[in-house]
Amino acid sequence: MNPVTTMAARAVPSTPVRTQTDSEVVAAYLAGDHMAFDRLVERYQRRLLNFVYRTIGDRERGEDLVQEVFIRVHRHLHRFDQTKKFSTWIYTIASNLAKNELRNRSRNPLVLFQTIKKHWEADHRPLQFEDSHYRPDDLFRKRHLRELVEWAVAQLPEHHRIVFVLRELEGKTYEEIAEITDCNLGTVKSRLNRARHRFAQVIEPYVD
Amino acid sequence: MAPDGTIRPSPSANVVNCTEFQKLHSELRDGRRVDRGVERRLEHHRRHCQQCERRIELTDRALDAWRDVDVIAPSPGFSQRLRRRLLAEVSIGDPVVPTHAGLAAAFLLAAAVGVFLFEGLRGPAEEPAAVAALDELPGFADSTVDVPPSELADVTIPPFSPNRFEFSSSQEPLGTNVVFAR
Repeated sequence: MNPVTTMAARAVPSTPVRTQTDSEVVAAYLAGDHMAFDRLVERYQRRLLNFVYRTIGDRERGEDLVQEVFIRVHRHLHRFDQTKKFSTWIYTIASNLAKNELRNRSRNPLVLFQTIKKHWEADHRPLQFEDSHYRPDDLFRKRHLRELVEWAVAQLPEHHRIVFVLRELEGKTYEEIAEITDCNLGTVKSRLNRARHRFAQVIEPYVD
Repeated sequence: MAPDGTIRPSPSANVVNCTEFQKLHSELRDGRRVDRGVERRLEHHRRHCQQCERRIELTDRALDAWRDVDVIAPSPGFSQRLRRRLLAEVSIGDPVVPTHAGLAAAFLLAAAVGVFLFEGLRGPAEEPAAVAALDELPGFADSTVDVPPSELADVTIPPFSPNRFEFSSSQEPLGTNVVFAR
């Protein structure tokens, strides 16, 4: 390691690793602490995977995209404005990749078919892998509802879907969503409202 | 919307219709500040509109089911694959090749700009001066060169004869000899 960066790394205040904020971890990495990048991966891999997976509906591809997110973070972290929130920045990258994926998929019928096929195959998993606290009929109902919701989400237009997932699953504020999706607050409100309305319309006939 | 960020209904709206209800309720459920009067009207609408009430209830149930889905974890090989890709990224990013390419491009660009500037400054200044100097020579301006083009073009190569000198190059293949007629 470069002695200059090593010294700089030592100069970073020694906050316990677990309680370090994202900004501190980023600063540590930029100061030459290479292990800090592993900590960022550790913190975000699961969250991003769930976000991307629920946006694009394909777990395997979701993993690829999350890897791509970290590659880009690694490549551009030195350009990251440290006055901004790191989580917003990393979600912006993930959101853009997910958006591109959805666009490419809509243009490529073969990819769309493969995704549908994969989902269809996943439907035949035995129920015993589910939570054993539920009775089989409960499990069936639960899984049915979950699949229905995933299908309903997949019916939303791509820009509505991303806003919907960011709000409903990730719990992001309107302001954060606006920054991640590069929209103004009014657009976020309108997209969220339309997404909810459409979601309810799609799901209504199937839920008693 | 009021300057303090709270949402207020239009003055004429004593009763909230379904479209307005959906929009305002969407913000209310997200914890956005809503005027107290609006909140009361939304509650009133919800109590009296079965369709909106049902839709909210269904949406909430569906979303709860969606949120209950177990959080998926990355597959076991995820970290290793990422590490490999990052190492590849570092090994591609570090070499000096892009730097050399950048330097070469910068050098070529600078050379092109230099040539352009040099030609731009030199070109228009020299030519008129040289022409003017020639014109000042006595009798030069009126002189013309009179060469009939037909005479110049009338050069023929006669057929082969043994009484002529022949120059041939040993390196050239046969049939490419140069023949000068006397």
